[in-house]
Amino acid sequence: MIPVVRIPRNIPVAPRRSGFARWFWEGLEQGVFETTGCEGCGKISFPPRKDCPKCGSQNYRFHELSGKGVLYSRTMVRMTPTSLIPLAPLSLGIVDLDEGVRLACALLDRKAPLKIGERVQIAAMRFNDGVLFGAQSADDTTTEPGK
Amino acid sequence: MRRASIIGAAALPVGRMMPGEGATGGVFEAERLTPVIRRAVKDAGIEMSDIVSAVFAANPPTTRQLGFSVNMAARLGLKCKGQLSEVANLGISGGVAFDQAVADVELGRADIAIAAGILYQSAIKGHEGMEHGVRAVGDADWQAPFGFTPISWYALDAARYFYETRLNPDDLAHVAVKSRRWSANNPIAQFRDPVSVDEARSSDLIVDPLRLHDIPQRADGAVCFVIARDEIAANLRSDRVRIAARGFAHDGRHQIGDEPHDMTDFPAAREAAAAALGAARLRLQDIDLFELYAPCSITEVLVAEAIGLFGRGDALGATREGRTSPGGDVALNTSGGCLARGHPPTNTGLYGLYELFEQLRGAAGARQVKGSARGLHICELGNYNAALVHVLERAA
Repeated sequence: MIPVVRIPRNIPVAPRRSGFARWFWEGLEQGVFETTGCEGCGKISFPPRKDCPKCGSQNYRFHELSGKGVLYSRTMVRMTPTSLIPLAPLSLGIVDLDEGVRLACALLDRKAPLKIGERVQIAAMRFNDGVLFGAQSADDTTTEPGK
Repeated sequence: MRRASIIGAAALPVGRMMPGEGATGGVFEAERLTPVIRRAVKDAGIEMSDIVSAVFAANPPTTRQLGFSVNMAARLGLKCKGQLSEVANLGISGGVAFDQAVADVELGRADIAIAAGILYQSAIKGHEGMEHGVRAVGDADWQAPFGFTPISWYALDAARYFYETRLNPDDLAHVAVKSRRWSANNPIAQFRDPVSVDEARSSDLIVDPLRLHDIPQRADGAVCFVIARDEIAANLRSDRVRIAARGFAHDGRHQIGDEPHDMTDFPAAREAAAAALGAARLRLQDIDLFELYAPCSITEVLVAEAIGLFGRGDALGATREGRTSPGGDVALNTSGGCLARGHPPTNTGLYGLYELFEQLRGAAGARQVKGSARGLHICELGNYNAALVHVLERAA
């Protein structure tokens, strides 16, 4: 389980939920951060997918991620798409999870901007009407655990 | 295989040409591109009816006229027997149009081909343009909703580069300064006024650590090349420029992969350049001019290091020392590059090739790099995930 952060506003751009990946977003709302792994070669993929990009196997299993990792890079987007102006500036980054998975996501800078090389924890960002994921400091204890 | 040479070209100054929404009395895409093609055809010393293949860099989704290549062919009176098409892949679109026209000549499908493009985007507001941009440079559902704009990926490169090298991001200002020093003498550049180090380094942060002078401004552009079988070219022009080789590589990623990798390494650039140089039996030292697609200051630094022009961490210092400025020992982006010549993305590849053509036929005026015999061009897409390289050489 990963922490869940409440964001008291509507989600500006909601990702489409495909028939396959609906469970990812529904789980994320509850603090479950789960992707797929290949039954054949063991590769963990992100985002979740049915087929393995490495060996082509169609046999996948669900793989729960710790959400723990290191911030690889970060930026602050001050010139944003129109739909994201209400959230500007956008703190964004790339996180390398301990499981060897890289992903791009929002950064939840609280006391100070997260630093490259810092230990981070992925949290679910629960908007009024949707969910995204973001990285916060691994030391951050201000958020409630997922349930 | 047959050889192909460029025998003529024309380009409009990069700048703002697109009529605003609902405008009347504006010049629309086809009207704007037509005289550019006529000028290139005249420059080549051929007739419009000599053109057998015509390849256009595809227009953006905001263009009213669909079927643009067919519309253009009808307007120009072309009846192509080789190919008539519009081609695209994000930032390499212009380069792909050139590549396809060259391929038609080399494969014997056409004795004479044109590669052309026009991009109108300047009347679309920056925020609106990014609504499309985020869906192009990243996954539409898994990355775009966060707001990863096209230049945000270069900013992520920059932040990582400065973290690893411990260099000073303030030094990026020297890229902007040297770009303007070149463009001061480029009549088709979008920005020709000088900019100072202090001005660049104190400009507004746009996407940290990149500032206003580290990023390109919105711009329109239009370019046309005429390419001919080398034997025909030799009879038409004494100053033709031959396509010596090309190379292409994609690193298999859409911005980033789902496994850690060095984002600042640009392997596609290195591999495509090596492939082109290998095919031409040349070494990097044999190249006199480099036009390297670099939308942001940091991108020029990283691609120059990726292809081996400088060692890792050395390009910024070399820029600060003036080695890539006019009079320096490395002729890098003599057009002024994306920051100063300008960056109409789907046409930027054509503009880079145009600079090499001008230089190699000795028509670059006050920015001429004397004695240049060969030039290397790279265009790219994404975060240099794919790179398309052409090596051009003076034929005579």
